[in-house]
Amino acid sequence: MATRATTQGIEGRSKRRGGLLLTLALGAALAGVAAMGGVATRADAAFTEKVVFASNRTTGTGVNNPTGDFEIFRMNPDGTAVRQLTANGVDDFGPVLSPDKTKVAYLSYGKQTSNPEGDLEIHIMNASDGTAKRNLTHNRAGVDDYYPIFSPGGKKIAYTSTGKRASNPEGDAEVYVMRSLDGTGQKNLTNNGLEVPGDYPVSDYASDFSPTGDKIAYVSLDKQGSNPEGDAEVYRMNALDGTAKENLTHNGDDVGDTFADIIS
Amino acid sequence: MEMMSATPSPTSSPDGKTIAYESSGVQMYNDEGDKEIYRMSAFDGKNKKNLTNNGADVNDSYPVYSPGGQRIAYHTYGQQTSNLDGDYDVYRMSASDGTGQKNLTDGKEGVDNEYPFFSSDGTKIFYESQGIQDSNLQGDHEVYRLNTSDGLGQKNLTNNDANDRVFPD
Repeated sequence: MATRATTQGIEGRSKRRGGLLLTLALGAALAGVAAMGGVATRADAAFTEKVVFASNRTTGTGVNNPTGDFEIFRMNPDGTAVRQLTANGVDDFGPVLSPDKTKVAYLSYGKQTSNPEGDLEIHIMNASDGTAKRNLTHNRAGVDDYYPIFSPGGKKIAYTSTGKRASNPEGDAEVYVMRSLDGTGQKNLTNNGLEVPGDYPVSDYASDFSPTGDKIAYVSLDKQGSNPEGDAEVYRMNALDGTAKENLTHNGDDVGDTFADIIS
Repeated sequence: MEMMSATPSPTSSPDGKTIAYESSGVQMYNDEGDKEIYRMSAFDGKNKKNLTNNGADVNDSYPVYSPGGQRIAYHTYGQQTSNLDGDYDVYRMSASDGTGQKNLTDGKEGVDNEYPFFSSDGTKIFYESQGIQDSNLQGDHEVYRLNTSDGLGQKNLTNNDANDRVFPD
């Protein structure tokens, strides 16, 4: 599924940079990753907002990154006051700010104390100084968790998880939700497996909360009752329990309502 | 101060009434089947509108709403009048009807500008740029910003010899 989507994203454009995720060789599992930078609040003189980003820089004031992997940084909106928030020997990337801008959720990939398996996990830390780091999705090896999205109130994080586990026996991409404080309450909202026997399992990728937090929009790919063609469609469901799923873009074969460019 | 973070596509408008998303494939209002940015009612998926209906092989994607919801920034590739070299550029347009489309990063050929997100007051757009240009002699990934209204005031915020990313593709 994800491989197909990746191909779709690359289609029509021969020149495509060798990006971080490709470097990480996670391929299909990571095809849905779409985390990004943002603007954070901090009460520094003159600037009350910060831009968070990932960089593999090894030099610069206050930079501690001898291994040259990707680390999370923040800076003023004019590029000054760069501060490094993560410092380890593994790749940290895809920072997303909490709604109150006090926390940064990010992806970390590679073996470390908080992640002995080295698979892709969602971590969280303080946006101001990188303290209070925590692996929110600490689970078994081979389960990759990515694409975190904060609820409007900041207490929940929706994300995409790939890899076999008790709550996802097929191991395909599913939309989960958990508490942002400690990663507890993990729930598979799109547990739909093989809707059509013999076909691929249905892959679901988290996309966005509604402003009131009661709904989650997501992209669903492959054959199911509400999508007999199996192309990518935009769905929404109740954020609490995944009920009331509705295909909003039901529009026939070969129409991909996807974030294909994001997953290229 | 109210702040904004970038959001992935499909994305909800700030008032929650609309979802913007990317769609490809031959369908009504998209005879060419290339990537276009649509919007629809977040309630029932009705009132779909192709906001970027602009000819074959012009691929528009990655919509993000401005904090007030009036504008959508996005990136596009493929040759069009406002992007003769066809590389990736950051555009903005009206979120309601797709009018007022403006290429904010039209410049040197082969410089790709992608993944826009707005400042908290909507007056600035941050984005990622890659490719050799006067402000980025190495041509690696850097984080830039510019004025939402006219694309002026472009500044390389992370000018160094390493890759600086807002987006991990």
